[in-house]
Amino acid sequence: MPGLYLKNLTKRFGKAVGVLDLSLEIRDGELMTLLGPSGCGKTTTLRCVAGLLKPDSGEIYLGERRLTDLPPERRGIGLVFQNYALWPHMTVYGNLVFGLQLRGISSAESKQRIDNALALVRLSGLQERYPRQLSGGQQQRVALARALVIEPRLLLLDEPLSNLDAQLREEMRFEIRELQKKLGVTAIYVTHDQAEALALSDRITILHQGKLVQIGSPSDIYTHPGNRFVAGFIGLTSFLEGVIVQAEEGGQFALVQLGEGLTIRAHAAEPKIGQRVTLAVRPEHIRLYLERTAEAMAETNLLAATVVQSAYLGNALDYRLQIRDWILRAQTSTDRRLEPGQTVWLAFSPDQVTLIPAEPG
Amino acid sequence: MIPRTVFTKTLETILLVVLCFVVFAPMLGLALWSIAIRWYWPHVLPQDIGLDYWKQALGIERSLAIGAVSITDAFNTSVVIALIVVVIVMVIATPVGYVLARYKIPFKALIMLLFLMPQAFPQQPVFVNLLLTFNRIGLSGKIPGVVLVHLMVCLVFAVWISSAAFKSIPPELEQAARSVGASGFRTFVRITLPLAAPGLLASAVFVFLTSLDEFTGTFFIGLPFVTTLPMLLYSSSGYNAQFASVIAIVLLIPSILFMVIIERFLKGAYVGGMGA
Repeated sequence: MPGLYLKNLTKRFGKAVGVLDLSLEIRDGELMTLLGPSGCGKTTTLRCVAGLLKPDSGEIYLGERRLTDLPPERRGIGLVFQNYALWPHMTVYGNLVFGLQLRGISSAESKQRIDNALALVRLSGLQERYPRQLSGGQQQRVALARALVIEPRLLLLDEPLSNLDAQLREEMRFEIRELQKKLGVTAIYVTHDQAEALALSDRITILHQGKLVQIGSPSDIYTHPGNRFVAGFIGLTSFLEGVIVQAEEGGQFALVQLGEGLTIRAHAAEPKIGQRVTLAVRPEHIRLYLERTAEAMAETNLLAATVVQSAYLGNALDYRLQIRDWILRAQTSTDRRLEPGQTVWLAFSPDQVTLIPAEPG
Repeated sequence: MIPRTVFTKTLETILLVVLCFVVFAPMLGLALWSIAIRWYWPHVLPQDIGLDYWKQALGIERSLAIGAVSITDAFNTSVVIALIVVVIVMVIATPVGYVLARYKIPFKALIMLLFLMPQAFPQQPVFVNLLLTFNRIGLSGKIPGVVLVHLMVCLVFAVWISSAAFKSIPPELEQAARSVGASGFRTFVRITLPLAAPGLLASAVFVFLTSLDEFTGTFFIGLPFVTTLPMLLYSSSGYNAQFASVIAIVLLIPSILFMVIIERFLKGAYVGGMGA
C-alpha cells in the first residue's frame, strides 16, 4: 500500500477558504484522522483527495501516482459517506457488485469477493436485502464493504459514524479500526468528534480555519497540545494566564506569575523570562484537598480555590473552581461532594501543565 | 355504544360515496348522453338508448342520419402528436432538468424564467403572433407546427418536474458510484436515471395528457388542416351533444388509464426504490 502525499493543497470557495496550503504525508497503512470543528477544511481536503472537488492549486500523490487531475473513477479510492449513500434501487449484492462489474471481474470471482467482504463486516447472508431493510449500523457496514470490495489503494471515511446512536458508534469505532489494521489499507478518517479521533487514529491532523494546526499521535496531541485551540478542542482543559518570571533547574522548569502573590511552577523546554504564557491543565490532573494537610503541603503547586458549581456525572463529580478570575474544571471520585462556596486546595504537578506561548492580540 | 372503529368506518364510507358522486356524477351524464338516441325534456332518463353514436364515432357504422363522423382520424392525429411531443420534451427536459438540479450555472433563475415566459402572457396574443410567423415560414396547418406549439406549452412543466426529480437524489449516491469506478455517463445511466425514473415518468405522462388535451394552440395553428380530438369535440359540441359526449369520454380514457398506471407503478417504484 502506498502512502498519500498532499503538497500545498489549496481550495477556496469564492472568498471563503476551504483549505489553505496544506502539506501532509499519510504513511503506508496508517489511519490518519482529520479533526477539527465544522468549516475547518477537513471535508474539503477529503473531497479533493477523492476527486470530488478540484483544488485551486497543489498536488496529490498516491505513492508515485499523481492523482491531482484524475477523475474520481480512475483514482482507485474507496469512499464511505456519513449518510451511507447506498443505492436504494439495488440489493446489498447489487451495491457491491457494481464496482466489480466495472472492473470486468468475472461473476464467479465477484461472488467470492462479495462473500468475503460481507463476512469481513459481519453481514454474511444479507446479499439479497435492500438497503431500506437494514438498520443504520448495517447500512454503514454495507457501505464499508462496498468501498473495500474494490480493493482500494486508499480508504476515505467522511464522518462515517455520525448518523449512528452513541452505543453503536463506539462499537463501530473498534470495528473500523480492527478492519483497517487487518487489511493494512491506508485510510483517512474525517471527524469532528475528538473522542473518536483519539480512539481510532494512528495519527491525528488538527485543522482550524483551513490550516494545519498540529499533527501527532493521539497521546502526543492530548498531552502536548501545540496551542490553545488544540488544548481546548481535545478533551477538557482549563486555562490560566501568566508571565514567566524565573527559569529553574537548568532551564527545565519555569516559575510563572499568575498575579500578585500567586506563582506556579511548570515544566518548560526553553523558558523565556518575561514571556506571556497560557497554562493548560486537564481536570484529571488536578488533585483536591479539603485542608492543608501534610500531603497537600508537599505539593509543588498548591492554590486556594472556591467551589462555584458541581455536577454529578455518575462515575465522577465535576467541579468548576474559581481562582481569582479563572475558572478551572476538576473531577474527583464520588465518595464526598463539595458544596458551592466551599474553599478547597487544588494541586497539580509541574510536568502536567502545558505551557503555551500567549497568542499575539 | 358504537365502537369507535365502526363509527369511523361508517364515516369513511359515507365520505367515499360522496366523493365518488362528486367525481363521477358529471361523467355519468356524459355516459348517458353518449348512448342517448332520444332524450327530451322533462324526461329524467333518455327515452331511447343505443350505441349508434359510438359505432359511428369509432368507424364501425356509417350513417348520414345522426350527423356524426368517425373520430378515428382525429384520434390517431392526437396520439401521434402527443407521442412526438413526449419524446421531444423528454429528450430536452431530462438533461436540462439534470443540469439545473446539479450544477451551479450562471443565470439559473433567468433560464427557469425563460421556460416560464410563454405562460406568463395571455395565450391568444402569443398564438396569434405565432400563427403569423408560422404562416410566413409555412408551418401553420401542419403537424410540425402543432407539435411546436405543444412543446411550448409542455416544456416548462417537464423541465420543472424533472429538475425536482433529480434534485431529490442525494449527490452522494452519484459520488459513491464515481468512487467505485463508474464514469459520469455510466453513473447517470445506472444510478441517477433509475432513481429519477418515477419522476420522469410522471412528467412524461403529464406531457402526454396535456398535449392530448391542448386546445387553444392547436385551434390557431392547426385548423383547418390538423384536426385533433379537442378540435372535433369543439366543432360538434354546439349541435350534437351525443357525439360530443363520445369524444369527451374518449379523451377521458387515457387520463384515467394513466392515473391508474402511475398510481400502481409510481408507488411500486418509490417503495421498491427509495425506501424509507
